[in-house]
Amino acid sequence: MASVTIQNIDKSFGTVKVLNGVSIDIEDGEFIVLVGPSGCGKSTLLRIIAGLENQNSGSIKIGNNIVDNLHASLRDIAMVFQSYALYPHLSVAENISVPLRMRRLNFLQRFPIIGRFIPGSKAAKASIKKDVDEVTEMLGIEELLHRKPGQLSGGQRQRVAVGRAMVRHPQAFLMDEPLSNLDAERRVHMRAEIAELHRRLESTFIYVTHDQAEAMTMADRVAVMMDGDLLQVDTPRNVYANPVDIRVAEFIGSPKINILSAQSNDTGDVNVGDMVLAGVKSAAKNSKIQVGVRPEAVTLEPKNSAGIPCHIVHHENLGSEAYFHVELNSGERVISRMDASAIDQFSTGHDASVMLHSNNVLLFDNDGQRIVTHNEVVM
Amino acid sequence: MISNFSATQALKHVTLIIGALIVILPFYAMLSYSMKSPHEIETNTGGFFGDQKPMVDEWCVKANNPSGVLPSEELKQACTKTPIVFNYVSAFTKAPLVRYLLNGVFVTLSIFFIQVLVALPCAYALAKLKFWGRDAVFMLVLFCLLIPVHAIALPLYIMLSKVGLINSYAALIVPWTISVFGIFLMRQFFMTIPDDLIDAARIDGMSEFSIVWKVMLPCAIPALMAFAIFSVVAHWNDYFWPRIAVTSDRNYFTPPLGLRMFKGDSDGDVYGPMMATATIIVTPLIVAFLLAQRKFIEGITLSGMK
Repeated sequence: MASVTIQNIDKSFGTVKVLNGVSIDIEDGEFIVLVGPSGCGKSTLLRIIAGLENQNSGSIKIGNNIVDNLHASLRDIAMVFQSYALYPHLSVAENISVPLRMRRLNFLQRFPIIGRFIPGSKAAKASIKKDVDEVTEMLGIEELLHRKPGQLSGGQRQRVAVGRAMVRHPQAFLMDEPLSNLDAERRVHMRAEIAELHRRLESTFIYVTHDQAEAMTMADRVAVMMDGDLLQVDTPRNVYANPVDIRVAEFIGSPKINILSAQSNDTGDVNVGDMVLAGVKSAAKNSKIQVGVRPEAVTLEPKNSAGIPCHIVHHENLGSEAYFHVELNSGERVISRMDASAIDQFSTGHDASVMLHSNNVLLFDNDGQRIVTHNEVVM
Repeated sequence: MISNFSATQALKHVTLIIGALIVILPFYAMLSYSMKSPHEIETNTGGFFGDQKPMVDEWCVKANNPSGVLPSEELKQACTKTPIVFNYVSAFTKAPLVRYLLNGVFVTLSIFFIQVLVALPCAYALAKLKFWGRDAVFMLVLFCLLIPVHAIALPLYIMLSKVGLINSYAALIVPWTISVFGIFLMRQFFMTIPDDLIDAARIDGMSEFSIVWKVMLPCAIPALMAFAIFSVVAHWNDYFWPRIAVTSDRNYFTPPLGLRMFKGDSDGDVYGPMMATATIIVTPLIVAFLLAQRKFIEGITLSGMK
């Protein structure tokens, strides 16, 4: 168990820059999720932490040790891969015992037959077996011990891969999209299981995913990455409610946040189309800005003069709630998320008015940076 | 059933049957001749098995009658055998075939063993490690595939004779120990093994060499079996190189060279024992092939990795 400090990591492959000075302080025992679209550099960052890839500059500290020049096996971290990467020719028990065999047995002791006669190998093998049994019991895979990976289901393989990582009690766990090969139902289940495992082990978890649902549900803190930049590291709640960058706002949340172009006047009032957002004052005055509104902060009302007139293009019924896709006169599309009962009132093809809930409105300047509004302060 | 008759299907089968016959016929002749008497072979009678009428073994008579006078009836009686016994016994007695077979086993297995020892790390480096000049090295490997053995046989012979290795096991083995074909084949196979597996092994604490022998090798068993068949068949059957490398010392003869013992000496060609020798030489290969075939089908699947 240790903290992990990432300082100013730069990495390029040839001329392509994949990481631009990324720094994160990960606390001991924290579950941090690196999230971002594919190609944002999150997996590369994880591989650099693991020691599988070398950074161009910057430094990684695990606990109190700078590990930049240490081989992956000496960093005392464990990694769970997307493809599980189990040794196909070894049984489950053998797979889990490999990291211990490599550490507790010497070269001669690892030899197939001769190894048995080398002093000390019996005791070492007994201790390995004990540790493997402990892990398999914890993960509930005792009955699979003698199977080969080819005979296991995806979820079982995933557990074996976690077991292989757990067995040597590493300083930190690195997980590279470990759930993305599972079907949707199993993924939701394993999500809870991994979060539970983290609570039980109280170890540092660094978890990479492109799935914002995984990030939001499991993380203590979410680190949103985009195009090699670290945009925001914050609690799931803050990343959702208080994004510092329009790209974070757009990436987190489903359906996606609505972005409308707007204009602020010299008193800081914000005009969206003809409507003035009540109670919102922009710090950037007299400029073109962008307004972000989460779908749940958008409601439809029967046509009236207070809202922005719109036309309902499409609606989706999800049972408990419904999404309404509407088009404004400006041609901009907005999604509203309302109770499913609203379908009785509004349906595809009709006209209505859009109301924006001003206290849930986020303002961004034209570069996508968050603008301070009067009622909240950007962190 | 007439309705199921298809002209194109029939044509395909006829073509395949003709092809199969062309391949099988030499083996049929070999097996048949190995059981027939010289007279039957010359006159092409006796069907597949021959009549197996007892015949007089001329070599036996000659050996026991050094004076060259007309041999006695007793001697002829003692030297009378059925053709199949004559052929197969001669195969082992006229030449030290057992020694040749053991030579063959030793040479072929040594070649294969060293080829694997060289090719696997090489293929691993070419497939999975990043280093300056890797592509150039791989191009060289491809280029070497184009060079026919016969083109370099003479320089090789001269080099070996300069270091005094002609007429030795080394002369038979050393030139083949680096198989570019093996490197190429294994490299192509290693390319299909996911990088994650190697990274996992590195994190688990394996050295690069451990990864080659403990991770890549077990995964590559099917490819290795294919390579083994190519290598073993080629070197077991090779006549060309042993003929060059072994100039005088018959102790280093490999099985194909053993066939020469029955060819073109003062007695003329003796096809019966020669074909018996040929049969004995190909049998281990066919048996090994049938055993390997099962292994092929079972093959370790890579399904555990994806």
